[in-house]
Amino acid sequence: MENWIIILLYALAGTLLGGFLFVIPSIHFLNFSGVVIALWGHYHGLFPLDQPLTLFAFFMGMVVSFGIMNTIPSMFLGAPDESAVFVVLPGAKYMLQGKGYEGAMLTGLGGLLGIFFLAIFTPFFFFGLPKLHVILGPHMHWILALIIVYMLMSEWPKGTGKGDTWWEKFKGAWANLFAGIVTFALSAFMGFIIFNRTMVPVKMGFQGLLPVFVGLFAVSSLISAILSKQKIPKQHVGNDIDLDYKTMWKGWMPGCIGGTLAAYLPGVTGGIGGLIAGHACAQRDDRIFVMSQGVSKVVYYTGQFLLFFIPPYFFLSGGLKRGGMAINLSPFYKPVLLQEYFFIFGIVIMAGCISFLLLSFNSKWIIKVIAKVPYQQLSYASLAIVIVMVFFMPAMIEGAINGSVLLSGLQVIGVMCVSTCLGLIPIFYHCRRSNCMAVIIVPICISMSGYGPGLAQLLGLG
Amino acid sequence: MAEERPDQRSFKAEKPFGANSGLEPPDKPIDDADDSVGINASDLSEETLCPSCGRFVGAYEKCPYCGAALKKRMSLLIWKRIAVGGTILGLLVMWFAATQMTPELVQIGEIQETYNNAQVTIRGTVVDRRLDPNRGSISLTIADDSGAIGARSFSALPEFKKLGNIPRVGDKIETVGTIQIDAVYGTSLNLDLPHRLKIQETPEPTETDISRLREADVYNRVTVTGMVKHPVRFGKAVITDKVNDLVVALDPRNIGEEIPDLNTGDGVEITGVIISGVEGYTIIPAGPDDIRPYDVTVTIPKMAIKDLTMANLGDLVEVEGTVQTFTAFKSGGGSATISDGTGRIIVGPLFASIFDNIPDNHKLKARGTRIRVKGTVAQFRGELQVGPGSAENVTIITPEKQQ
Repeated sequence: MENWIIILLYALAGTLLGGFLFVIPSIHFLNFSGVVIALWGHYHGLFPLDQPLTLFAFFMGMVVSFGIMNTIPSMFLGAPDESAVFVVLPGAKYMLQGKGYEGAMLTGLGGLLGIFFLAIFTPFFFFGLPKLHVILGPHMHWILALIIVYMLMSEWPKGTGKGDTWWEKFKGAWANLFAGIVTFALSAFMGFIIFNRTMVPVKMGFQGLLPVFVGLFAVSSLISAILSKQKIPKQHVGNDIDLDYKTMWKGWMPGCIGGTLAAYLPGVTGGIGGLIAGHACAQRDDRIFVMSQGVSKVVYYTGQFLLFFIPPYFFLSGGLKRGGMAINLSPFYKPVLLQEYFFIFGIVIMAGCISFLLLSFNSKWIIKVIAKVPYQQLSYASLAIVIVMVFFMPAMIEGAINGSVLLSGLQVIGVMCVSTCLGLIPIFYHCRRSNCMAVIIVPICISMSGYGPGLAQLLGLG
Repeated sequence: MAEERPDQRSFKAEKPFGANSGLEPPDKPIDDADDSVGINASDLSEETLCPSCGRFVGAYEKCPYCGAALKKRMSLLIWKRIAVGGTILGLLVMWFAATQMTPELVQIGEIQETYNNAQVTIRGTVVDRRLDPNRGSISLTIADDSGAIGARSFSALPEFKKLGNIPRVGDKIETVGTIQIDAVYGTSLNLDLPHRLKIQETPEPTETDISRLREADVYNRVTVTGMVKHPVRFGKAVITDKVNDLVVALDPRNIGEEIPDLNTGDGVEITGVIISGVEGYTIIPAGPDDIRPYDVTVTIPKMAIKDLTMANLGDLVEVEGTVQTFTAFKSGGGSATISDGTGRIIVGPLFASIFDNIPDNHKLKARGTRIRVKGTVAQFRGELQVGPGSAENVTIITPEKQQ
């Protein structure tokens, strides 16, 4: 770590790049990391090979900025990622009241409080979590199964139950619940196919879930935004936030619980963690909800990646690897020193503060943009970017454009189209979009319980 | 009082079309809805409003407020149908395609970081194998012309046993697995699909000499003959043809607990796969039946201690002499210094595992005990020593015989 200035510069670059990149709806840091790693394979000078921490610092800056900046597309442009879906409705309420800026800053403040939580939680990472992991590790499959049951059972009927016949009443009451269960089941089925026999080319194995997640959450949201005829009211940029310390504490606590659950449990995202924590804390205020989602997102994304930096000697089994970013970067380097953890945590704090400032700045100009350009048009542009990125991912990894990679690109787009249709079901049939997360949580749960190969064989995928 | 027209009313904007409807907690009971959040109906398209009550209904087909059936515009209906139909049809096509396809066959050497988590087919020779029945784990090393990869499963051994397709070292196999790449643990293949491992053939071994082993023999099955130079210790033995040595890997996790006794000077014929490492070439037999007694004409020369020099390092020799001193090790065993009248040499190290198995070993500690030792000449801190390697190579000649 003698060249710490270089590492810091990379962290700064990641933060600033992410700060502006993640304003674009549906651009996710995991997808972008695929692009960067693919390009690094051809341009080795992008990150110094003898300084692997530069890569991690760059992406940590990006992860933190995503956790905070992702609020903008969610709040103003109607394109949430899988962990932000819960922030949209109260967020939309803020936006429809002309208080989108306030809502964004409330979420950003939550993000900063999330970083504060990670700071005070650090001793637990070193001394408590490894012991807890020894206890919980062997039971992870049924813990995930419980979460699945909870996800399905906690959805409630949204229909009126009105109708002339009992069937109409039944249908009205159960339609969205059934849609939720169907979404869950189809997502789980898709997960089995993807995990056991994917159509994604082997060379982009590390981005095997890219077309799935882009389809489920990004493209479906963009289509939804394009179809929407909603007009955005004039937004007010205020100098203060309607928040007191008591409300802040009430928002902080469920956010921390939800984010921590999501960071630790494999396959559980910030949305699901937030759902459980929200129910556990039973807070009804929109401000609490919006802020807790800001906390949860940062604790989830940053905390998950931060777990990778806990020196392995604290664990019996060689450390924790949670989340897509740790999985994407684990082939390149494994941080082993305590200094590396604290250095990276310094980057988290720096990136958090810069991102918070950028959130204010970006929110202001986005408000000006959406006042002039309908966000449907912005969604068209985002859709084009996302499709091009997915289609050319095999070409970027191969470093060439030829018939083979274009065919691979079509395969990837095919997978994305199916997952897009699946992602549209909750939007049009009014069930939770988090049901789509069954695409990873069910295969992981089944695999951990030891039934994965048997079930794959039963489905003809073994 | 004039009746309020639907488009003049405020409405609840909790379910804006296009946003993520159906998520809690904003879905409050209708009666508890927060009217302060309303905006003008003129801000929204007519298609998204209920014609009966004028409230925002988004993509609902029945108004959740008044229950009126809603005639939707064509695009919404189409998208709803596309969502369901496209998902079901798409998943069926994906499923069908998935059941028909075979994961891509890749060369081990071409695997790089971007292959992480990819499911692939690997075709190669098993060059090492470790089975752990207690944990149910199986670990193979598979090699092809381009390199080698570790393939493992932590729980699939019982399934492999049930299917009867546990490969032996030297078998050519084809298997499907998921690539795992980690900066600490390196590249490996996850073997969680036992039924996808097919043993293709067991190639006939090529007969060769230890001193004629070349890089071309690496990962191939050969048969060599030689004399045991070092008996089995820590899962390894060394055989020699008096020109070159060859390490024999005798890991019980590979060949089982029935490892044949190999004593210094025994002639053996061994069939196995050759690998290359820091110790030079190593041969890995597939099982106890690959190690057979062989009549070798090589004999161990009996040497006078004065004739042993640094030039003899690594040679297998036999010396005889009387114990002068014995130095005990803290961990058990020790080393003896013997003299045959022409010179002195250290016999050792006699680790506890060796020393404890020498019959009447207490006599080694008594000055004057005559012993015969077969072992390899080595040096420790500039002093020559003869390392017997096993208890069988140390013979205590009784005082009666001496008399």
